[in-house]
Amino acid sequence: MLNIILSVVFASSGAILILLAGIILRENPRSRINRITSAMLFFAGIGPVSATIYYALILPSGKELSPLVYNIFYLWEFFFPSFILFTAVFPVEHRSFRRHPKLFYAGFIPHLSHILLIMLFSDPNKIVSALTIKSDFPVFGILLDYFGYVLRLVGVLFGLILEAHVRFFSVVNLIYIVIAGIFLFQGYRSVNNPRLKKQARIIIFGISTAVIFYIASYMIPTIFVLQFNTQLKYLMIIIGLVLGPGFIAWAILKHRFLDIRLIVRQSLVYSVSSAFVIGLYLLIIKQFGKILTSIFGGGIAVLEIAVIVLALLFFQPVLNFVDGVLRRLFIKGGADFSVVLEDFSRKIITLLDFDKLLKETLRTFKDELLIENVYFAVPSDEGSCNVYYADRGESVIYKRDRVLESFLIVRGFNVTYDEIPMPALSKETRDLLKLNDTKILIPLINAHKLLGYVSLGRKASGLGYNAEDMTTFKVLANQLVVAVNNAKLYKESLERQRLEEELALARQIQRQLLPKTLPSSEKLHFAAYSEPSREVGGDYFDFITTSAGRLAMCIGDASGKGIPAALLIARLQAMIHSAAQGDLEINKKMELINNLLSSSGMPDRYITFFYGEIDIQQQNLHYCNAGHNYPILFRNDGTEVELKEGGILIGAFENMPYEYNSIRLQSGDLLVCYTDGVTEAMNTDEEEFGESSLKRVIADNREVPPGELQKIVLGKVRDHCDGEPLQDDCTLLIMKVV
Amino acid sequence: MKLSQREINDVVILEPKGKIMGGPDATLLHDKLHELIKDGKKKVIVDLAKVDWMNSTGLGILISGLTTMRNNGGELKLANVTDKIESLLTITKLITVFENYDSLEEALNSFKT
Repeated sequence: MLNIILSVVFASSGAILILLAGIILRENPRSRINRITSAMLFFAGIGPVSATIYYALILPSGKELSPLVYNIFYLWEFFFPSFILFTAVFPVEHRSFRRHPKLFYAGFIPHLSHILLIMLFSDPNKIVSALTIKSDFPVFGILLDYFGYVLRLVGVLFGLILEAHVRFFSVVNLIYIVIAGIFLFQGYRSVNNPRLKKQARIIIFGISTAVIFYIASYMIPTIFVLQFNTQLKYLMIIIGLVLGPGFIAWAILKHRFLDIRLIVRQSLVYSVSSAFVIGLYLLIIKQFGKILTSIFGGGIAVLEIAVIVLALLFFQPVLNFVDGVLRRLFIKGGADFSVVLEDFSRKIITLLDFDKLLKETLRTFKDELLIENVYFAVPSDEGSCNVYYADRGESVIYKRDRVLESFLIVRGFNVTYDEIPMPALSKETRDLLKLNDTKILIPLINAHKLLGYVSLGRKASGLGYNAEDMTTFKVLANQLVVAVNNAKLYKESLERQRLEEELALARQIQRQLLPKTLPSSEKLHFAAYSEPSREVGGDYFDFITTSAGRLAMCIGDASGKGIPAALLIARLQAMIHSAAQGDLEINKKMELINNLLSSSGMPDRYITFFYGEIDIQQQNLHYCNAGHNYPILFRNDGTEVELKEGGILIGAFENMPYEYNSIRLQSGDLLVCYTDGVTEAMNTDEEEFGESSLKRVIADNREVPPGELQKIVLGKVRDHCDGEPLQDDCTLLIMKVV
Repeated sequence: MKLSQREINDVVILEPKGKIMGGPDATLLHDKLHELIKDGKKKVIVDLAKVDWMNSTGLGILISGLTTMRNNGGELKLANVTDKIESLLTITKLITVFENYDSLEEALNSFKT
C-alpha cells in the first residue's frame, strides 16, 4: 500500500513539475528567468519521475536494473546547480550574478562530470584498469611507467570518489542548497513591492520545505550513514514532493508568478482537475469491478461495461464541479487581470476627487499590476505638465511637450518605447522618459484632447509586456478617461459652488456698507436705491453726519464691475467715513482721498465720485464733483442746474486740484444723483434710456414724494429695457427740500 | 476693438475701431504701448474717429495708456474724439489731462512745436 501511495505521489508531483516547466518555458522562452525556472523544475521533476519508474515498474517486477539505466536517474541532481541559478535571478537579480554569470553556469560542471563519470565507469575498478598502461618499450618504459603511476593515482582518486559518490555528492548538494538559501534570503530582503514579496514568499516557502524535507529524509542519513525509520522517511519525502510543486503552482495560479497568462493558468487548473477526476474514477471503477467480481464471480463483462458507462455519464458534471472549485480557489483573486480591472473600476467610479483618483490609479499600476517607475502626467493650460510619481508619492512640474502630446493623440492608445519619436521631443521629456525607464505610455484621450498619460516602467518581475497586459491597459485607460472627466466636472461644480457662496457673502458685506436707514429730517426727504448688475457692484452711495453737524451725502461709481470694483468701493468707503469727520474744506477732503486712492498705481482703477455736505440750518449745499455724472438740481422755479464743479475723477492721477461750489437750497428743490447704470440702461435695440428721458420723467412727476418718484423712475427704466437684465450697476438718490 | 497702427514723422498713430471695452482690449493697447516704448517711440496719437462707444473700463484703458507713456517720458494725445466720448471726457474732467485735437493733422502739428 505504501508503495502505491508513493508511486502516486511521485508520479503526480513529477508530472506537475515537468508540466509547470513546460508551461513556464512556453510562456516566454526568451525570458531568462522563465528558462532558468523551467530548467530547475524540469530537473526537479526527473527525481520523482525516476522514483515512479523504480517503485511502480522495476521494484514489483523484481528485475535487476542495468547500472547504465539506473545512473540516468542521477540527471535529476542538476536540480541543485539550477536551483542556485534560480536564486540568483529570483526574486531579484543577485549582484554577484550580474558580475560573474559564468561562475553560476560553472556550477553545473561538478554534476556533469559526476554523471559522466558514473555513466562511463559504473564500476570503480574499471577506471583503474583503464588507466594502467602496460609498457614493453625499454627506452620509454621508465617515462611511461612514471606517467602510469600518476594516472593510476588519479584513477584511484576517482575510484574513491566513485566509491563514495553518493555520499560525496550529498555533501556537494548540501553546500549548493546552503548557497542557494543565502541568495534567496538576500534577494527576498531587497524586494520592496508587497505583492512581489508575497509571491516570493510562497515560492521560497514551497521550495525550501521541499528541500528541507529532502535534506532531512535523504541527505543527512546518507552523509552520516544513519539508519532511519523507512516509514517516516517516505512520509517526509511525500510531504516535500507535495509541498514543493504545490506552492509553485499556487504562486503561478493565485499570484501570477512569472506573469503566466490567464488562459494558460486556466488550462493548468483544467489539466490538474481532469487528472484528479480521472484517477478517482479509475480507482472507483477498479474497486467496483472487484466488488462485482466477488459477488457475481468473474467474467461478467456486461456489468463492468455498465459501471464504466455510468461513471462516464457522471464524469463531465463532476469534472466541471472540481474545475469550478479549483478555479474559484486559484484563478479569482489578485492574479486575474479581470479582477484587478473590476476592482479598479468599482473604486474609481466613486472617486470624484482628482487627487484620490490619481493615487488609486498609481497604486493599481504599482501594487496590483506590479509595475515600476509609474508616473501620471497631466498637462495644464498654463503650459506646464504635472508629473505624479507612484513611488515617491510626490509631483514635479515640467514644461509641456506638445510634440509628445500630439503624437499620443494621433496614436490614441498604448505606445511602446520604441515607437516614441525621441529625437523630436524636448530634452526635458527625453530625460524624463529615460530616467523612469519608460516602456509604455498610455494616453488618456477624450474628444481629441489629451487629459494626461500614464508612463509605465519595467515590470517588477523583470518580464516583458504581453498581449494580455496591453489589452488590460486599454480597458484601464478607457475607464480612467471617464473617471477623470467625472472628477473634473465635479471639481468645477464644487469650485463654482464655492465661488457662489463667497460672492453671496461678499454681497452681504457690501450691503452692510451701504446705509441701512436714510437720514430723517423735517426739511429734507430722501429716497435711495442701489442694485448691482452682478452679485457685487461698483456703485456706492452714503449719508454721513459730520462732526460739524452737517449731513454729508455722496454717490460714486468705480470703473469696471464685480469684485474688483467692489474692493475699490470698500476702500473709498473707509476713507470717506474718516475724511468726512475732518475740518478740511470739502475740496481738500477730495484731494486727500484722490491721493490716497491713486497711490496704488493702477490708473485704470478709478472712481467717479460726487461728495456734498448740507448745512441743514443754513440750507446750503457745498459740493465737489470728481468726474461723476452731473447730479441735477430741479429748482422750484422750473430751472435745472447741473452740479459740475469739482475736479477729475479720483484714483487715477495724483496731486490733482479740486474746487468746490456752494448752492443755497430752496423749498421745493429736488436733487437727483445717479450713476450711469440708470441713464445707459439699454433695450434690445441697444438704445440707452438717456439723460433727457430721466429729466423728463422727473419733471413730469416732481410733486410726488421722493420714494414714489424713485419707483416711477426705476419703473420707466425697466420698461425701457423691456425685461433685459441690467448691464451695469444702477444707483439713484433723490432728495427733496420740503 | 481692432487696433491698427501707422507712423508719420516719428509719431505713431493708433486707430482703434469699434467699442473700447474691458477684457482683451486692455491688454491689446497695453502691450502695444509697451512695445512702442521698447522701440523708443515716445509720441503716440490715439485716433478715436472710428470708436463709437466706450465704457468705464475702456476709459480706464486710455487713462492707463496715458500714464504708461508719461511715466516713460512719452506722450499720448487724442484726436477725432466723437461727441459722445468728448462728453464722457468732459464729465469726468479727463479733458484736463488728455491733449485732445479735433483732427489728426492738429494732433500731428502739436508734436512739431
